[in-house]
Amino acid sequence: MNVLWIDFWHWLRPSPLFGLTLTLGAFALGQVVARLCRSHPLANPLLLATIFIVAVLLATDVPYADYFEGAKFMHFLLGTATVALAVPLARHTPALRKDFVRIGAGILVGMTVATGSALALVWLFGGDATVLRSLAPKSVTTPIAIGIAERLGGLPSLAVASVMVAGISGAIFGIPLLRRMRIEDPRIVGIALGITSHGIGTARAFQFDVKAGAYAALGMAVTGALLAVILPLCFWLYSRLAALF
Amino acid sequence: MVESLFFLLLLQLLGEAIVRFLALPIPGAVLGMLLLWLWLVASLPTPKKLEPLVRGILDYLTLLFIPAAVGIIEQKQRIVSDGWWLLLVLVFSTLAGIVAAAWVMRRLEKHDTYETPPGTENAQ
Repeated sequence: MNVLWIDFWHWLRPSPLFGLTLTLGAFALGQVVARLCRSHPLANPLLLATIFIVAVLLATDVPYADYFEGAKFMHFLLGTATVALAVPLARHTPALRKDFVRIGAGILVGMTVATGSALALVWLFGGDATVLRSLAPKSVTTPIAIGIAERLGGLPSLAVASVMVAGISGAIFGIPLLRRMRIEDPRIVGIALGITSHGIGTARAFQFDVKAGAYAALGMAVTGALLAVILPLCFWLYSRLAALF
Repeated sequence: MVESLFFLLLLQLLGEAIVRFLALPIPGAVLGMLLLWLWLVASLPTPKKLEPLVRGILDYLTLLFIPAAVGIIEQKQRIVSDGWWLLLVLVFSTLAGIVAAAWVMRRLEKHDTYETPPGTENAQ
């Protein structure tokens, strides 16, 4: 009986039946809790599911590699989902064209400040290269951020954590901060939240105003596409310059 | 559904292939996204069920982040030693980005209304 149980456990651990079932169950649980908390940004289903799975893995002594072996199928689909993001991006392209200078300037400045200040501060505080490469895509929507972090040689998990913090903090403090600046224009609220806090900020913007939500989705999509090209180029240039001196 | 998924996978494959053959630093899936975006903006024909499939995938997008996010379990030491100041940096830079974007957009709006002839603000 005992031997059978141990055999079964060894078979189950790296199988998709463990990784996928645990992931789906944890996410379902996260969604229930989030609904109970009336979708407060802190009660984020991704955050809750991650905490729950980490707790289960620690309690059962399953290594991350075993869990990932089973769950990697979902991780692969992230790439496909990234391609699919072109559909909302194309849908928002006419709105971008209509108010190109203002939205473009808002996106470029906000994106540069949000990313540049984070990188400068990490560098000032003496963070190592891995932290720098993992935090760089913090304002980018998660699927693209994971792709960027992998491409830069950062840690995808640390990238996801940074993206979550950027998303949650922007969703909680963004609108009160903008109110203090006496900004209520849904277009500005939307762009500001979308480019700094991606999907989580976009969800918050939709709660504020439907128009703000649409603009947040636009800002998020453009930021993701731009930074996916700009960040690797910056890091490549930096390594070239560093090699020269 | 099958054609749509095949279409998305094909673009993902094309993106990865181009990135690898040309040694581009950007993620292959992002290039796939940019190719699909160009395709859509140019109004080229797409598989019939592409829209519902994409909606389905994006509805459950968050689910796909979990396997990567759980990897944080291997960064315990880094979180304990650097977690607090990293958290502060992330929150500060996010709020700085929000303020900067809003400030620029408000400046440009004032410029707009200045150029608009009086009495036509609501003419849209």
